[in-house]
Amino acid sequence: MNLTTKSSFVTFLLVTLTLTNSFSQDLDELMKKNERPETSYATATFKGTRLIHGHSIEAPAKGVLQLMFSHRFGTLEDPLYTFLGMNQASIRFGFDYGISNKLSVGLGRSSGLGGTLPPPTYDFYVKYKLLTQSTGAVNMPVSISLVGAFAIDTEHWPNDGVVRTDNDRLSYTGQILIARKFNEKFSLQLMPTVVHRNLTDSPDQLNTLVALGIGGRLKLSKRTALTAEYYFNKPNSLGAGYYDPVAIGFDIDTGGHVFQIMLTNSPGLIEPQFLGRTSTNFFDGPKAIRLGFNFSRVFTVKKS
Amino acid sequence: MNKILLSAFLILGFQAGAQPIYMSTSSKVSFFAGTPVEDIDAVNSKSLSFLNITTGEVTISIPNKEFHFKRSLMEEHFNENYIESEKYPKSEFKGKINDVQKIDLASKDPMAITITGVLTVHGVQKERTLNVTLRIHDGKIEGETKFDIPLADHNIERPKILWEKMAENVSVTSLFTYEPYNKK
Repeated sequence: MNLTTKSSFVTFLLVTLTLTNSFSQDLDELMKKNERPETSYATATFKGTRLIHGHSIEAPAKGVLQLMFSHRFGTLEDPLYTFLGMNQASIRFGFDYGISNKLSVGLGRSSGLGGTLPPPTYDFYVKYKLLTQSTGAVNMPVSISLVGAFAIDTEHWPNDGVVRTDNDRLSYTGQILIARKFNEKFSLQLMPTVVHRNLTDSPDQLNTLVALGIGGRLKLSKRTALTAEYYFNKPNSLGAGYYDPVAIGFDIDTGGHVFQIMLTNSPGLIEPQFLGRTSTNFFDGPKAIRLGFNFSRVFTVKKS
Repeated sequence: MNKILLSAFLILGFQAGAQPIYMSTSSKVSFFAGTPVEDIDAVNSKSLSFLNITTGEVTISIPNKEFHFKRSLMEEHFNENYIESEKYPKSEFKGKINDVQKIDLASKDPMAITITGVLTVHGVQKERTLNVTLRIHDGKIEGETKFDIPLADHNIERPKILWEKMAENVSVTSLFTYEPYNKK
């Protein structure tokens, strides 16, 4: 063996050794190289399936049944006499159920107070989670849910000689909910909404209401949050004596229950009612504002 | 000269063949944090791990959002309130096998080894020694371990208002199956 072959052999060995060595070293690097690019989906953009009055993008997961009670008391005009408005509470109770993680349905019954206040009504809705906000492998800036609803007013017709049909009891709602969870604490939602009522109380009330809702949540702690919701109706569509619904709320999540307390001018609990039948102006103060709450409990009916 | 080259190639060939890096091809990390009142358990099959059987180094990465629960609300609370997976997307373990010379890849019997390393959960690092059982079959290495993590060790708050009854210690079971890693 001459010198050249010898040295090249040594080099060869060295190269081989270095190769194996460097190869065995960096598990961290291998980890980085092999980790699949994940998509991180935004979860819990809002605590409840309702932001305050209206729907949030959230829905019960597959196989989950949610029972929900909602109350809106009378105005705080004479709080002692009415016990914070409890004398004139409107109530809705309803169920929401997740057929799949994207599709959910709900039904409810609202109590009727009559007059300028909402009539007794049954309501049904379907909600579809079209898009979910995500980062990572899939980048999606917002979550979008679609809501379609219809409601049947069951109030007895007054004996005023006017001919009405059962069709006049129906109203329809369509909503596109667009939400973004900006960070752990802050989420914002836009709600373009159309409500069609087959019958209105007076000619200055339009049958079709077009509104843009805006709402948000600011978490104060892991389990509590401040919320706000405002629906701007297209001007001159509500009729005299009706106003846009405004609400400010406080959410408490106890793990299994979500408890929402709110101050609002609206006695209505479903879209045609809170959009079309809010008969006080929030900015008039206590004589216009009501206390209310939503209370929900979830049950896992079918375990996944 | 040819003989030398040949033997050099043989050495290279041998070293490449007995390459010491193994990658996990399947994994199952599960935990139980329940009490007699309520079952709280979750399973994660999206973890990744590498193992160097020469040096004994082990590294494990566990995506927190891939823990799946039977109840979706528990999963939401786990991600939002306890593990805070948006802030801490991964749990990790980096360690070294203490008795790496004991590993015999030809063994048909289970081998008991210990791994000492740092476990990072909820952004808090804790040194831990894990008792691991290794089994070898069909050229695959299977490692299984079971251990308890006190939630307080990793600054994970237990809920004060209780509908979910959570245990103070979470018992973790993990099973990783490794195969030789082929460099791409």
